[in-house]
Amino acid sequence: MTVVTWLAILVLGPGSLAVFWFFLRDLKAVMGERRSNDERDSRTEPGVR
Amino acid sequence: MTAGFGAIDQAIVVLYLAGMLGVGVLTASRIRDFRDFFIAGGRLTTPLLTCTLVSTYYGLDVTFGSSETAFYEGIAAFVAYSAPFYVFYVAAALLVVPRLRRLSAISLPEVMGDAYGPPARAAAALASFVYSAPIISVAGMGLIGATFFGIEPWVGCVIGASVALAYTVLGGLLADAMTDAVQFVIMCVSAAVAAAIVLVKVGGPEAIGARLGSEALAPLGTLSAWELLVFVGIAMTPLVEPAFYQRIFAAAATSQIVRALLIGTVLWACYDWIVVYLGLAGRDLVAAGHLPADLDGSAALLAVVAWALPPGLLGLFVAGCFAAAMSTVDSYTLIAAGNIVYDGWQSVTGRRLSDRTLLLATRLLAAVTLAAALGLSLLFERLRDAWIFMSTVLLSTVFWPLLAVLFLPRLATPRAGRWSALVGLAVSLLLFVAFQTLGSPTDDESLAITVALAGRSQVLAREAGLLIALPLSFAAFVAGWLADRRVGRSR
Repeated sequence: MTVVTWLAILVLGPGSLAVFWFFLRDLKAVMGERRSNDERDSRTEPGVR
Repeated sequence: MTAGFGAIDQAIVVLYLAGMLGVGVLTASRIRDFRDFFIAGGRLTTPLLTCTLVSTYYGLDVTFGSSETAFYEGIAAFVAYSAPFYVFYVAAALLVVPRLRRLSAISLPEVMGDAYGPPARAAAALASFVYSAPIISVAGMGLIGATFFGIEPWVGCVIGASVALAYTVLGGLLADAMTDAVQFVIMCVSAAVAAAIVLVKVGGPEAIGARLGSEALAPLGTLSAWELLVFVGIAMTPLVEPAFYQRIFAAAATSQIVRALLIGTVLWACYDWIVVYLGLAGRDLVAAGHLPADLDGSAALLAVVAWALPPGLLGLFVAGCFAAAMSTVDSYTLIAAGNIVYDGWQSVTGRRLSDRTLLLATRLLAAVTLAAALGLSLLFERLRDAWIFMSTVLLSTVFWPLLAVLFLPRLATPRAGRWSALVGLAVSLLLFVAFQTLGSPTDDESLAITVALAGRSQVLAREAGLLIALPLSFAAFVAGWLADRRVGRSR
């Protein structure tokens, strides 16, 4: 269980920092023009919906 | 003020609060209509969705509630209480998201209304409001203020809630999600750092188990069968969770929200394990005499970190607790206010509100929601019980009707959804009132009623309400479906 605790610490700490780094990279797109769900899905995932 | 919590720690917390307000001001200019305000214009991507999902769904209810359960029940808090949720997070990602994204709604009650009509939408709006009122996190901020700043609990509640309210009212879901991203990092990193230091100072779960006795590490602890059943039932909440639904509608693409939920599941599991470990360490420190013998379980986590962390890091952890609370307060306040204005008001009056009115009314109602949350928080002694009550109301009202819409649309007839929602809502609220007025206190600070069942007296705890309300809601759904079928045949 001690090993699991260390693993959880390593995933949560560096893992959350990695997700945050990707968020900063996406920031411009998130703050950009608004599109509807349909528009986005049809552009990024043709044939899915 | 807690010993060891100095000027640097206070400055970190104040700086954090000021930063959150700044984000609200920056994002306010992006809001043009209610869709922008309520679902961020549908432009959230995987990293931001991961941050906002993880930090929103895990507030002080989980942070303090899970550590509190671990303090009393040991490692069973993770196995019995947290682990069942992971199955339903994954189910929500793989089964619910693709179906929900085909609908044109932007809120959970609207999905109900589109399928079953205005009464079902109004019932769902009320249930979602009760579920979303950020009871625990508001109360938790008061606890943090009292523990670390030496201020009255209500002052801590008002300061924390006011900051969260200010940026949410300014920037809606976008401000909420952006601040969630910062709060996500602070809460995850501070929890990881705190756990690492406590692990070095106190030892791992095995060492704690050797000192406290083997029952501290027993997978199911001393939990009774009905408690386990309630935990598994509550774990189904992610399938009908209003904050999940809002973010599913706010995602830029289906694949982005699916990925966010799957990444979030891993992070949630790690966070759960860490707070459970810290709760267990709290019990160990009490037994060793390092913490007061009368320490309450809900304060165990704060007491452990205050004991273990040096100045600076303690400030980071307290900011992390504030972050966990505020990321939940802002998101659920927005949902609760939106539910009443966008769903409740429009379905009850039958009138569509203009975008301008929707925005204004939602912003105003956010303040009312926070005040109501503060009042409700006084009714519960144990954090976990408050959360079980809120989940019971939500699940009993919308669980069966929503599953039918998503998975068996042929069964989603108007009376079925309407009857199920109304019966579930009424029974769950009536049970709550009955326990509050007729119940007597139990050893674990809950309430129970003794009922005669088949000639034997049976003690029924308040938390078992779900086991009554959910089956009755299902029975009402079946009855409504049969009634619709009969009407259909007679025509």
